[in-house]
Amino acid sequence: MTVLFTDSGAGGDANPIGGSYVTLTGLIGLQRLSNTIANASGSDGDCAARINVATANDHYCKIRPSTVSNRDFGAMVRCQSGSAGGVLMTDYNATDVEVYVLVAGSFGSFVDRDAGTYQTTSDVYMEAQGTSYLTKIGASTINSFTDATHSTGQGGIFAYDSAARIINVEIGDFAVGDTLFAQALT
Amino acid sequence: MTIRVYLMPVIEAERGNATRRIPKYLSLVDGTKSTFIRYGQEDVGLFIDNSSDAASAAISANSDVRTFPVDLDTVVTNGPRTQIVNALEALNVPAHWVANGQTFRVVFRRLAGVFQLLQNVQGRGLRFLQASLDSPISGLPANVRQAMQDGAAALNLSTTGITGATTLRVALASIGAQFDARPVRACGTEL
Repeated sequence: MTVLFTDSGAGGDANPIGGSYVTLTGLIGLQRLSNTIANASGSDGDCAARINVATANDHYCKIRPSTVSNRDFGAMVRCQSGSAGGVLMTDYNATDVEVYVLVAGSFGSFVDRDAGTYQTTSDVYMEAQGTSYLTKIGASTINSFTDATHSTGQGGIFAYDSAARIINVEIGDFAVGDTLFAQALT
Repeated sequence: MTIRVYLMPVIEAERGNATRRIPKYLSLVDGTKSTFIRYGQEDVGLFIDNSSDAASAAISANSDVRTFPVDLDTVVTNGPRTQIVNALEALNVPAHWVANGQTFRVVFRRLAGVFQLLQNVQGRGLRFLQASLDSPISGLPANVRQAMQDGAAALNLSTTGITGATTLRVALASIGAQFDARPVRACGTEL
């Protein structure tokens, strides 16, 4: 895999907090606040941020939450440029991890649900391979499923509520020879 | 747990302080995994879930839900065929191709394939079903026809034989038939 973007949240705190946020290089509209990455102005269906470098359409996004329980945010893949579109993973009810598809001009459509919750001690991971998707929390695969809504796009982060907090972000492509989840086409 | 497939309506509901489109009976599930394959932006989809027998019975008891046999390799026979065709056609899903002797797995895969094409058209910001199923493709706006072609290409599907005179139902049946041997991933497994 080729890592295209990382941020460890190790940058300096905003000063004052709530004042001058630091915009992260390489991501659009994503800002760092107090050693975490915060959604400053997200609303339902927004791609809070997407990577601003060329990403293969098959890619992954991995985040580490710094807050859990009733938080509507998560990793995102196939973010569409210039519109609220893409596939997102969220843990809004602290009971299930759900995946929604966003389409420009429409609201989120349910795609997948898994019993489980985000943990501040585990990464949240989503991968897009053709029409197949894979989700993980930590090292555990929680589900894989088919959806064909978005064939193209970039990795990013989704956030609905302003309490969303993410410490680490990693977005990357796949390369020849990688061990992939991809479902073989027949 | 047993994985079951349902044909289920879509509703709009509050989820995470936002209105989202979800399977109508999502609140009845008690399993660990659920997957929904939407019919593009139409109000129905294939719901795949591993809930308990009791929860499954509660879901299936609803008159607007159709439940596939647990064993998808069950063969379609005349009575079920009529029920399937009537149920699908009432939802604007072409079903003239459902035949006795097919397995429910093939029926499921073909439906999932057609649904995926409509998803892809939706992902391009367009609705495919802008005309009746018996209308010719030529009656669709040019951008929708192009989106269908682009979507088929993105899904490695052939559109050979589909012309402007082809009806929507025949075109979609042609797409679905290409999924007979193409497994669909849902609830972490291939069906």
